[in-house]
Amino acid sequence: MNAIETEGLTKIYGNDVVAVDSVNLMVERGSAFGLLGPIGAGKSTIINMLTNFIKPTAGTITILDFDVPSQFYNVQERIGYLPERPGFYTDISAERNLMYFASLSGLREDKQEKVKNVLSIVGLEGKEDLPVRAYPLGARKRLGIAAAMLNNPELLILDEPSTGLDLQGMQDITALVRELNVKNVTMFLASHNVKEVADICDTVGVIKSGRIMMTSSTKQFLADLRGGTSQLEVELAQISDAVIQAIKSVEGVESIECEKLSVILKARPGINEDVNDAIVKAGGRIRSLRESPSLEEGYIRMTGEGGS
Amino acid sequence: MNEFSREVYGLVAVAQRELSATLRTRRFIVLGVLFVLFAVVGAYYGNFDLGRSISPASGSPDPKLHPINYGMSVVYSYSNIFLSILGLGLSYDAITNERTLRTLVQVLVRPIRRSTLLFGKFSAYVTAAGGLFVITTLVLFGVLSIVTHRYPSIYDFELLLLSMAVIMLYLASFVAIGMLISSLTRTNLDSMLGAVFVWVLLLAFAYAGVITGVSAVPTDLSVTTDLPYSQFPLYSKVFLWLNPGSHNVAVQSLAGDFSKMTAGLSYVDNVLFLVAIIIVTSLGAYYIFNRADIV
Repeated sequence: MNAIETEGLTKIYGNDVVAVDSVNLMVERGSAFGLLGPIGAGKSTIINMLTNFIKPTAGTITILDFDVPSQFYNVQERIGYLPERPGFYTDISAERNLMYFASLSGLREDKQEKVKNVLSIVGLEGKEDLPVRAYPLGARKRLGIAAAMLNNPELLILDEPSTGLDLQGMQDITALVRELNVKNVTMFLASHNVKEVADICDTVGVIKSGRIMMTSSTKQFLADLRGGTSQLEVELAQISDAVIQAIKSVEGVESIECEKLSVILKARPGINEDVNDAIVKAGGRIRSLRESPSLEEGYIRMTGEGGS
Repeated sequence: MNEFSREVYGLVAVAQRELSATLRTRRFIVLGVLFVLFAVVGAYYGNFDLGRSISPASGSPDPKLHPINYGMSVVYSYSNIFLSILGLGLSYDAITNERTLRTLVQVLVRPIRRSTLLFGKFSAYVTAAGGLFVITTLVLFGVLSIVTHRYPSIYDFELLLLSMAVIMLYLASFVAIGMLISSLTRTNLDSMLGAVFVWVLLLAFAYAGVITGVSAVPTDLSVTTDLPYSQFPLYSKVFLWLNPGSHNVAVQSLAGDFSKMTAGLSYVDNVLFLVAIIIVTSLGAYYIFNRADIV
């Protein structure tokens, strides 16, 4: 069963500006699908067609077994949407914004309770009386997620959820979204951030110039990005045999070279956390640890485009 | 909750939010104050005119000569133009402002139809401006009655209510025109320029209708003569009919004079014209908004 299916989805602006070109997507129910691509690749255009904000030039969209746009009313009852820059009525409080959106979502007697519940989930309890204009971007994103969750959506569509956030904000949003996916909410996430997609999604589709270049599991995608073997450069505060042995014992390490306080190892991709744990357990102290190619480097190499 | 009751619930939610937001806007306060101010000025002159309606026989005020409703017609003539500005001023950016705030996507991703959103906003603006009009009119009617000692009969009051209903249609037509402008434009600035342009254009149509009509009819007009609208050529009448103000038969309603032709049309035809303008512009707004890209 698929949550989203598109066939030949195309959007052409004017006569010849092809924003989305014959996109076929299948997003399984309960999965987290990441649409990864550089800015201007067509991600937001696809989302805008999924949410019926713009009409496709050609192609079909089925969401949760309902046709878009003819049965979109049924879809609206079942989806949540977080825009890249969530809009709110800034002169009124977060709670009043959510109460209004809850009314539009059809909530009645349980409205107040539901609003309090989603505010608590996104960590905004105690700040619900502040006017939204007093909220920084990170808090507005959280409020956007709260607004998207009001109707207990089966499918959550997220457009660049961490754009404009600092590192802590990104981590918080990522954790929040992952938690929702664990609760069996299907995720459709569009992002230009490889790490964000890798952290949240189990399936990745790469889009470039309006066309889907590839779709695969996140695991396979990351392996492809790093080309099978990656190089890990670890700089230690002090070096000892115990630490070297600990590194060698990590599964997936193929070779190891030591130079003063630096250790360079060839290993399977994504091993850095295991290496980090092994060094710490052996009593070593890490000054820096860098995996190359990084996800971003691999992504740039794969698509020939800049990601962040 | 079934689809119909959900739509009704959504409509009420939109109208409540919009009404509460509208009453706090600077433009409502400024235009509302101007409307009330001119209504009060109209009441002052209405009182002045009533004071002059002395019976030649007895030398005392004669309510039959000029009943209290006459004073209210002066109030209308001074203030109605601000009601049209208020109606247009509240609604011209109904959609574009939501687009600018990026709240339109937040609203329309929920189970609510675009027509419900439009109608909810329309109702809120008519309620806000209409509420101010009704309160102002009733207060001035009461004050004028007391000051002039000309207390209304039941019939006078019925005529007042009828005239208020006509003015509500007149107001609603400008709100609907504003909604149409908002559906046609993408930014607040475009909407504002569009509203100013349309308001001036409608005024120009009315003047063009009168000027071309009068010049086409060879009559000797004095200031006290009613314009011979019925003799105007069709194109002059069409110019006139395009302006909702031409169909504002509130003064005839106050006087109970339903036989008088206005803009070449009967009383009922004028009321129907106002209703038609509201329906046509509202359907136009819906048609455009329903097909428009939201982002």
